[in-house]
Amino acid sequence: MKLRTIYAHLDNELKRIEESLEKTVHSEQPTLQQASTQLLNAGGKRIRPVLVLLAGRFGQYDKDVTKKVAVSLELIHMASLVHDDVIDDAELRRGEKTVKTKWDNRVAMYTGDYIFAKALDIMADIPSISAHSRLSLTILEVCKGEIEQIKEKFDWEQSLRTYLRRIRRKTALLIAASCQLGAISTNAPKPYSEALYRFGYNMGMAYQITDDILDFTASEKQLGKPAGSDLMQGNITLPVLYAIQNNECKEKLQQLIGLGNEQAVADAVNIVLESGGIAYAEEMSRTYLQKALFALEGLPVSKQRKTLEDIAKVIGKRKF
Amino acid sequence: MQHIKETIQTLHNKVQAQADHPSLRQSVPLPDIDTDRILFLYTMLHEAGYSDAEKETYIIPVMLVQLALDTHERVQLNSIDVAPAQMEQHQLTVLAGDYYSGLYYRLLSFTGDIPFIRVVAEGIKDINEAKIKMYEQTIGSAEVFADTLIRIESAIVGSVADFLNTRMLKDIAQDFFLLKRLVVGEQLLEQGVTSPFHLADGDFHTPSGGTYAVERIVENAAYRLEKVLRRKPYEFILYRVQEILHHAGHPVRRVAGEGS
Repeated sequence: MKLRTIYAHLDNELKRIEESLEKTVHSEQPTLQQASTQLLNAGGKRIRPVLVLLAGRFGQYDKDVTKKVAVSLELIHMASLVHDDVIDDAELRRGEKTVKTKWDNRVAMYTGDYIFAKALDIMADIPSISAHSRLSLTILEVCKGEIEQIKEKFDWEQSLRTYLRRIRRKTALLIAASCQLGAISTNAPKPYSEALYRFGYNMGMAYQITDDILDFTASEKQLGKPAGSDLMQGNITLPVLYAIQNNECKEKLQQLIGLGNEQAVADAVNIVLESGGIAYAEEMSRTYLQKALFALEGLPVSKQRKTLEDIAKVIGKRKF
Repeated sequence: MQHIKETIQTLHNKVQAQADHPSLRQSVPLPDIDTDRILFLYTMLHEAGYSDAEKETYIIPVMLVQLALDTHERVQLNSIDVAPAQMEQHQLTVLAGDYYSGLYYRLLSFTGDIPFIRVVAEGIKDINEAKIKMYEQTIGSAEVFADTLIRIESAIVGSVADFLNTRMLKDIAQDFFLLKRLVVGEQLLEQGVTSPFHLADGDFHTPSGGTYAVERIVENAAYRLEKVLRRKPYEFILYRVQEILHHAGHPVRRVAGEGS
């Protein structure tokens, strides 16, 4: 089943969120307007808004309130993407030129800062101090995760724990916050918001591990970048961590990364594929997914709970 | 005057301590923490009746925002110009700015003053719109140039002043930071240092067609400062205006002639 089909019943609300995103990033300044619109058009699955909308239904659902939280979270995500493209020197995002490619790094920095400010402006309509406390902590942790990712590049001695801490901060926390903030903003009972947080956190971990697996198993067309790109940039992900437990593999990978040519990338990918690292990472991803599904048991049986369950299952099985 | 100097320095040190992060410390030098901004924020909050402890809870996050924006200003224009050995620093510079932004939001969330989060966010939006305008050099006249520079230099302080209802200090801050930016900009330019905003180098055509040099903008700002500071003397601000003009060897004398 496709992700979009699972949450098709949210289409009207998602459309309103899309309209609100467009309206929010509007600027009198043409370049800022174009850059923001370009980012919006690059789209994405809008998974964070979907999670906010679903989680909000476990409280006293208020369309306007959940819309604001959803828009704010998506804008925060967008702002981080535009800066990430500067960090990664990325030419394309979802087949579209990145802001830094179409303009330059400086315009990308201004656009990201502008969108981030817009996100907080909208979020300021939510009077819950606990929601702001949660979101601000998440933003800070996500940022720390990104800093760690840079500092830990090419660190062949890093532990599994280091990797898990990094992906927790980098990916899982914002997904967890989307679920939790949806619930907090509609005053859902605390056990529900906590269960939703655990669901989002574990699904986020599974999501990132799957992403790291796909760097080796998906095609260039599916990924939008050559397979093995993360490894060549020095990102030691879970399949690689498994592979380098074998010293021979470790030495070969280090040599190949040093070469950096096309054949070296293909050889490095093969080493990881043959090491059993993919199966190991898939197992870990499944474990997190099971934890996510288990967390849902703390929620009342409902359509939204079923939708969350289906989303988790699709995310766990995604091929690209 | 000594007391306020010490207070501002203490706040400066607290901002510096708050921004410190072990993974950034070595690689990303902290931009200058502008004590003049601290001075203005302090004075505004003082006038609005905030206690010293409260002042601190507002000043530190606002200064972190300024650090975030100033840090992002240091990101290389094009990644191709970044030497491989400098790549990590380049990447961490982007993230350092994001980290300081996150810290501002985090600290303000502790105060529970949600409207103030919006006040700062509005200032950030305004600054970035103005920066792109300036960067693209879509400035048609000296008036627009001065207005855009005012937005870049004092939008956040201005938003805070609006929030606290300290209108006069907003006017003073706008002229002060415009003056400071132009005078410092001129000095930097003489030393061969340019910035995206070094349009101050040229003359600007007014709508009436005459030339309107940067010098003239500086003089006007200094004149307005003189007028307003005569009405309500903020001793330390006046002292700073004098200092800036004196250091620049600027010909504007009227403010410098007023004494503390």
